[in-house]
Amino acid sequence: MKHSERSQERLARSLQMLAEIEAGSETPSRVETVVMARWDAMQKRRVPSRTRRVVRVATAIAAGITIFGVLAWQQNATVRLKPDTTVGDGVVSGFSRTSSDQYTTVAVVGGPLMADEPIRVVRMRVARSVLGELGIPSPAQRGAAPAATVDIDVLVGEDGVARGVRVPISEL
Amino acid sequence: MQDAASSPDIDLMRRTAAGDREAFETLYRMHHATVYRFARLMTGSTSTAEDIVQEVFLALMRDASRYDPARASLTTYLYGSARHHTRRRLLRERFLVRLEDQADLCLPAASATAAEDLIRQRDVQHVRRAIVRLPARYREVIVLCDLQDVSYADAAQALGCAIGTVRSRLHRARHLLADKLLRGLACVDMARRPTVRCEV
Repeated sequence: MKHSERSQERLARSLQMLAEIEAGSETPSRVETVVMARWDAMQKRRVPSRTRRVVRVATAIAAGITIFGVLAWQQNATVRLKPDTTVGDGVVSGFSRTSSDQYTTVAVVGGPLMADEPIRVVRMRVARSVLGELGIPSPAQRGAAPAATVDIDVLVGEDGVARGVRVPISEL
Repeated sequence: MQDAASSPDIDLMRRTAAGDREAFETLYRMHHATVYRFARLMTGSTSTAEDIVQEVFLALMRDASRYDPARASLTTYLYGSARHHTRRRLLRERFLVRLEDQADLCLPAASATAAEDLIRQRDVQHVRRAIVRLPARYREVIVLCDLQDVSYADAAQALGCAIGTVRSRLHRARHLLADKLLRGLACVDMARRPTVRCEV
């Protein structure tokens, strides 16, 4: 038998012996205790995280509802201009306002204001005589005691041109 | 190779992923010894092997949902994980000098005579030391194929290489091991030889 064959045979025997010994070795029970303790700890941590996730989702939904509510409320509080009547041949249009200060609108330039037309409102205090120039009869003409000035709203279109004037109903 | 589809491990892994403590405990009891033996033979240390068993099963409980039975059997998966943790551990501890825990690695007295026991113990110790001194890639194949009776195909899967590579590494590893053992025994014999003084 060659030297290398002998050494291989001896190695095989040694390995077999070692394998037999190793087959009987077991992990100490303390390792299992540690591993299971870690399992329990991990599961405990996992449960609150689920709760936290649910709370997070609920908070997000509540925040969404709040934001939506606020936006809806703001939208309702915004002044809405609704087309009311068209007077004459379209040069003069009437708009009524739903808010409490009861203004009415008389368009003086261009065509009638459309419902969705973007406008800016500029409130101005002007001499009562201006109403006459706009063709609106003043209370003085109706025999009532007139005030020196009157607050009117000028409706300015997107192009910067005044599209109409809103006058308090009491002045009409 | 173990038939992955029919293995009860799949069901246990599913239940473990769902947080079933009992399933995880069963898995641990079924496989801890395999991982422990592999780690012990790879590192030559009982305490390190215990740590590696913990790390492997902690990783298993964390990533149970990611286990794909179509890719490998659970045993192969665990061997792969144990190998990864062993390598990482050995890399981290490469500058440390280990105090060998020989008491744990000793052979239990099973032979008829004390002399036989001693000889067996000495031989086993030599084999252990020689295995631990092998380069990792050769040590792995010796531990898996020769000591753990893992098939070449499963070993190839666990090591992430071809079966041919496993065969060639095993061949080379056996030669290296035989050399180391021969040299080791020669050293022992030299140590036993009485000192001869030259006459002056």
